[in-house]
Amino acid sequence: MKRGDLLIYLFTASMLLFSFLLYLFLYSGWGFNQRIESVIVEYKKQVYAKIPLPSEERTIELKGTWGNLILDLNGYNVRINPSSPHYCPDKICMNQGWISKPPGTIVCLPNRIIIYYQGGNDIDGLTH
Amino acid sequence: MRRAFKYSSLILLVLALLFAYWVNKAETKPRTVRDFAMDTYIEITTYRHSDDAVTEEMLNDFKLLESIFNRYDENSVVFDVNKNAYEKPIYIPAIFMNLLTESLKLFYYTEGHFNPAIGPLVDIWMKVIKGEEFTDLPEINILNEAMSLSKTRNIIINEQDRQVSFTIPGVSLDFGAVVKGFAVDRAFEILKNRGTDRAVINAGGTIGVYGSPAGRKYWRIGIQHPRREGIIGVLNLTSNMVVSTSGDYERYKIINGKRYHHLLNPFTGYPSEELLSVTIINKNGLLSDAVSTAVMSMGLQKGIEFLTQKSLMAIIITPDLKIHFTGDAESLFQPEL
Repeated sequence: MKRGDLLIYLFTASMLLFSFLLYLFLYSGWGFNQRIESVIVEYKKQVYAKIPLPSEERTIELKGTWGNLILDLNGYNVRINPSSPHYCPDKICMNQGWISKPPGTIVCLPNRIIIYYQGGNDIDGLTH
Repeated sequence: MRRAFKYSSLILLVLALLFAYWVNKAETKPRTVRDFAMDTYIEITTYRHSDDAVTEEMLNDFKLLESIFNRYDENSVVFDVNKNAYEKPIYIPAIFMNLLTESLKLFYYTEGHFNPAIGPLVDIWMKVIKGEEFTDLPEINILNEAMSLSKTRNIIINEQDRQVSFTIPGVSLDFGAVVKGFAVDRAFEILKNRGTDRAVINAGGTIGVYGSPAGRKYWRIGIQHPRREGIIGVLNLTSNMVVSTSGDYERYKIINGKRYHHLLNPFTGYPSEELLSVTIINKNGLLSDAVSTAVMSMGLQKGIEFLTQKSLMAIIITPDLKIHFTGDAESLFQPEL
């Protein structure tokens, strides 16, 4: 065996190994992103606000056609403040209370607002 | 032999390239589109850029279903039927005839526990559950009247002329319990026609997994814990399954310490009491939806008898938070610790 052959062998073997490791990395770990990155407020299919998590204890006001939506944040906990002024006729979202991790989601049907976590998810869907 | 050895490095290289191609060909990141339709929240997850048009097609179909089956929308077909079908027969679109006849089959299949004519009873209880101040329970004679209106025998179907009419005034069709499962079945049909590999459809908690997941064996579908945030367990599913859950925790009101929710027993006129939630796993979404609603009304013993007799997979949660299985559901279930 010549020296060039050896190099080719080494090169191919390392490529095989590398692609295999890459494959393991990408797909064996469920293919899910394990860490919660942020909470997203979506309105009419557009990202209206994206807040990195964990967050210090604070409130955010989101003004829009829906009135004034007050979002309470604390660590990974998120809720719609129950006293958000003129916010929702249904008030299901306002009374839902805190969500703390995925797949926790706050849905406001009348205002077409969806609040959900990005990252940290290990399931494909939630049946309820 | 020597010759084979000579080329072996080249063969290895080709194999490595093929492998690298195979790894790369695996999907891009999942893409989830969130929207509202059929009076509920929709999530569609696909895995290729080229699937965006398919997602759009499915969402449009959901909106079409909403325009037909939302009984609270004055412009919907079902609103027109409920309002006018006693006065004169109403001509209905094929899709309406389809869901109506399928629903009546499921009415007999579930021995009347899923009932598409339950509208009058739903109207009474939704007022109680949604109302802010009104906390009186409905009187028994009002419930009795609503129960006699909520009978499928009050519906007359003329399949030939595609018309529907009611024998008495006040009858009201309600497809709320099945339209989501019906929608997921139709979405699967669209995915099949478009040749899409895989997708996850979430129609307001009724979940359809289409195709098999990339790079792992099972889809993982969480089941909502009926009494707190988070999940009670995960279902490991292979391909083309629809999971539907009915629970007493979605829409309810506590009156005098007792929980009144939106899942009604058509035989008592009251919200069903024995179970916290019922999850059905089946290839057919319409059946999953109808049966999960029906078993809530049947209760534990009758429900398990029925499910076992029909060989259906179900996960039932009772007030002591015990988990009961029928069919092969236990083998798919992984409790959340």
